Amino acid sequence: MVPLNAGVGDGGKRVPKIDVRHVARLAMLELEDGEAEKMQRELQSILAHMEELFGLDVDGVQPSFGSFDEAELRLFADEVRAGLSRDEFLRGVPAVKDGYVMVPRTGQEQRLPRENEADGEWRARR
Amino acid sequence: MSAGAKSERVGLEGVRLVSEKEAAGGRLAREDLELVVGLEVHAELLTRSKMFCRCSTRFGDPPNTNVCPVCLGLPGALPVVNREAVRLAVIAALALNCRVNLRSRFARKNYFYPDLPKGYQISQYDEPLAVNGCVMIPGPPPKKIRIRRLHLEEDAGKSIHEGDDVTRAAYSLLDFNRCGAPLIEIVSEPDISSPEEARQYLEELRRILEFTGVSDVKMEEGSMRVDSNVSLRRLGQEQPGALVEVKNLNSFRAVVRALAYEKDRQSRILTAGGTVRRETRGWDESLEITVPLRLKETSEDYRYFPDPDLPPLILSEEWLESVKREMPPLPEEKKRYYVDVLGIPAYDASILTSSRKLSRFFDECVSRGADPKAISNWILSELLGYMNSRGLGPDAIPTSPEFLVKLIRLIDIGVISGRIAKDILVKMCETGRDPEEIVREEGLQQVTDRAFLEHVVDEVIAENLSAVEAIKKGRSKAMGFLVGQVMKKTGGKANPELVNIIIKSKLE
Amino acid sequence: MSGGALWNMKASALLELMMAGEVSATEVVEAFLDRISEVEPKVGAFLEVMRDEGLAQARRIDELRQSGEYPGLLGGLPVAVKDNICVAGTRCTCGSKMLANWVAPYDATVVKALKAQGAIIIGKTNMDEFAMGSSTENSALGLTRNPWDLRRVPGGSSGGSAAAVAAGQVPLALGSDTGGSVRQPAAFTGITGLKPTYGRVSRYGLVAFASSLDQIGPLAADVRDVCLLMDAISGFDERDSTSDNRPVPSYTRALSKSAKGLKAGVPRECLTQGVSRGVKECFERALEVMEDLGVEIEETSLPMIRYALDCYYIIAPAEASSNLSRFDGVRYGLRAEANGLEEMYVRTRRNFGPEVRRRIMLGTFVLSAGYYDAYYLRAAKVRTLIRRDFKRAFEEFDILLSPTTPTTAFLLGERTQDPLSMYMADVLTVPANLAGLPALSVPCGFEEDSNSGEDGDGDSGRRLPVGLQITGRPFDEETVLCAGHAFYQAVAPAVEAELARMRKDLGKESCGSACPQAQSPKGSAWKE
Repeated sequence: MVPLNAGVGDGGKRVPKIDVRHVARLAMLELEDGEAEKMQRELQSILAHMEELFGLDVDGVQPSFGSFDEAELRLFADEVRAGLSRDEFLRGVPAVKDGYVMVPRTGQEQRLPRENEADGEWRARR
Repeated sequence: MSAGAKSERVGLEGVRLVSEKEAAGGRLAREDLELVVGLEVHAELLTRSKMFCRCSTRFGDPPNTNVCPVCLGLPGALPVVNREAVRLAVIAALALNCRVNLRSRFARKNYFYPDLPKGYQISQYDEPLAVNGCVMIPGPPPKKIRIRRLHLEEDAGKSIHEGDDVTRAAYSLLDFNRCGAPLIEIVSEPDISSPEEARQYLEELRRILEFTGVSDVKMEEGSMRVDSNVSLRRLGQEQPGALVEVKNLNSFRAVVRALAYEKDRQSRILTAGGTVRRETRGWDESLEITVPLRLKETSEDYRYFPDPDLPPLILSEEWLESVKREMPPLPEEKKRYYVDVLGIPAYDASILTSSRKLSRFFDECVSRGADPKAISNWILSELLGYMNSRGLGPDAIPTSPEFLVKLIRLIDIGVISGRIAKDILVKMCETGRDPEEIVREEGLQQVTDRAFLEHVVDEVIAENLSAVEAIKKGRSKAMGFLVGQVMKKTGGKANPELVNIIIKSKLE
Repeated sequence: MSGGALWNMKASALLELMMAGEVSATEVVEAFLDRISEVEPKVGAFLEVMRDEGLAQARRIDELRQSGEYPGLLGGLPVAVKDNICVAGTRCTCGSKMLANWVAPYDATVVKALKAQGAIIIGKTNMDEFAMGSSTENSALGLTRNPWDLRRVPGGSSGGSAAAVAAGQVPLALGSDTGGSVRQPAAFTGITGLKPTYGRVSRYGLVAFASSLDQIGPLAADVRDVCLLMDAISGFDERDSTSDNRPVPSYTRALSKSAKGLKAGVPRECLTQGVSRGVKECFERALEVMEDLGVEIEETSLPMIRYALDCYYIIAPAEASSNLSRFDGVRYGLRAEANGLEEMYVRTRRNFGPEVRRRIMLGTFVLSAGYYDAYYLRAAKVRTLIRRDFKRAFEEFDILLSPTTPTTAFLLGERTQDPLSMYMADVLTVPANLAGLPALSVPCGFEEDSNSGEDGDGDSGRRLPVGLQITGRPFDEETVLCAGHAFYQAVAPAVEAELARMRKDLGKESCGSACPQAQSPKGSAWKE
């Protein structure tokens, strides 16, 4: 663990400059002007703190994405079981219309043909 | 998010205007350009329940009725994997000559979209279920289309768009019934070089997936969907040009038309000295053109990472072997069997193996003891003739193997003639009834009741003693007379051969 | 039987009284509800108290007992549940504005198990928003104080659960532990908390923070009570693909084993990571107690755990950034008014608090194109190295010992402005999460000089509790609990005397100088 007072730049050139606006867009977060700068500072200092990790030789080391190597995925029988009723589900939904969940429309696929829009859209956003 | 679509100049977008000189220098003829296409096909697997939960996958239920905490992405819900989905995906992989990875992994593909409840799709990324497959297309000339990978993933929900953009009343309605249904994605190598080859590849894929029971591959219900990556390459060059992704291909016809359109559009740009822009376009069915889709710049960074909710998918050799053993035959194998073993002509065999339903129908007829060639002829000429005239697909064969075999047996044993049988088949198809029932109720059978015919013969002999005498003296003409008398008394339905035999035996 | 006596008792003792017919479940639940009413304005442990449901359940348990039926392992015992665990029909807020009014439509598997064993869920406890934090100060819905010193944090993120048990508001509670969120508040509040082996307890119904690290764990006054909860909630769940299906022993029964002859390693790295003098001294005394019990203690080294915190602060935010994408306002929870879809998304997600936003940003960054290999993948590889260190250590040792936290409970507001100093509170606890190991925090005494913080007056006069962390082999909770129990027996008289005194004072202390903001800031969350 590097000392707590390690700040931006302490670790040398390796700490990348985070494009916080781009990251915020990916995360669907909105940063106000002052907030973006503060966020930038905080993230940079956290990353600077992680500098030590780069000193480790991890070549040829298998990554661990979970807690146990030996864990194997269990597969389940293809049997239908009751889930939630429509009422149970829709009760908690912020906006509902005719049994559907209602959301403001995205501007993404407005050039799509009218027929078969549902399927078309599925592709449009992939 | 701004409302309203930009109006685009059809066919010209992507053109970078270059100076006359530059264009002249790089003169490129259309003939020098070759189409390079890779297809991504999604097929919904024929399971009863979803990929990661036990909700029904039934099509056409009222909206939001087949849902649970898992497929709705409620806080705290976790995925579990459907074994049948894995089995079907493995069958597809084997049928497409892929190498199945005994160890694969689920990964999260992160992006925001209202019909994607968790904000990520569970898919497979750098450790897919299967790789390195291929499909042969008939051509001519026949060609091998390589498959890069095949992986498992979950479907998203459905959105219906309503309201209009101008008044800002636009909204979408979401139905999560389909959300979480199991899919396989099959990614081809860019080996396809014409719209026709693309069609053949898709036909072949559809035939194989349908035949092996992996998917019902109905494009109209969205259970098979196609995206394409299109570019042009200078003949003789390795490197293709900028990749254009074309989406919204809702039918095979749309694929063919869109590829032809793109080939044309891109060649026009290139021959004019322009540069094709790397972008995503959508096929506009009504205008028959592709148009750029305005995708968010950020949507390209999906931040794939291994799904921490799901350990690696490990398949055992034994399990894989058992899937192989129990695997339904492939259409090509089946066809070879029909030709080599059952003696069916190759063309007929390929029609019989164009769909699993049809092939199964035929197989069951044969297993019920029918003569393969005879039953094949009946299916191909009469049954399919009837179905085609009514617009019925192989999903909706209007009679059963049992009844068709019965019908043919009725001809074989002389109960009905071949000509009457054709009429009866139409009736069978229209009513779904048993041919024996039809024959009986409508009195269409030849009279073959020996006791009854003997009785009639006895009567005729008693009434025509002179003719009997004539036969005994060797005048064969009189024999015909007696048979005629029997036919007269039975209204023409007596089996003439049987009557002959009876008379002869009576006079011996 | 007076209510005061009941709420001051441990779950195991209450269970005996109820089984002997000396008190009813109704009396027990009433006693704790009264205690909640009495001290909650000071402690602020709960986001919701289910008074009526709790009493109705208690009556049902009493009826069962009267008709001679077995009401289950926990029959009639009140349990508090951290507010990121779903209880059907009850709000599950995760301490966030985003879910302030979301009512869970289903029971988490652990909640089903608790109900099946006759436990009575009487409240949902406060927590850092989406379990991100080490002080419970990141809750958007309320402020929880440390009952030992109301100016201090109870630890986090399961601060509400820990404070409730310490204050005698409930004998048993569930928390969740992603990087220390059960053990660290247990240590800060002088109680016992266990993070089970990853996969031992189902995560189904626990709102995910970092899926590969999260485990639900019990908090209680002592190890025996922790075992009671573990016996109820452990085991395979087919709804959780990461849940393990090996058989579960009876943890309560395992306590009768002796700790004698156990080999314990003390990783030297654990004493260099900013551990305060007071904590170190307390830990050293604990080692002596262990030796007296016949535990063989030896210093050892796990060189890789110095990287654990960095590794953790890459992996946990990465997973969190994905797990929290579902809070988009489409299907549940809060939705902001907006004209377009994207506007709806970002306005809705404005309601995440600053720490949650920070971690979503950090996690999104480490997974983004160009940085995945450098950060996320590298951290996953370092995780392998850390696990290897533990594996090697456990070839030699049965358990590993360290302090649970580098310091005792810090002051409210002391670290809120500096995320890194807050992250340091997890430095000794995250390794067990990265390696998926069972780890227990058990009270081991009190810091002699508790005024090491910046507070000048230091006039509370009360020493602050210190936790001993015992880490074990995967799925060997038995040895961990057994060692913890043996140890606790030795220190219990001193610890429990202090606890009783603290609890008594808490009841009578006026909400004056020691309690700057006396009233509970989230009274509206109460349900009567």
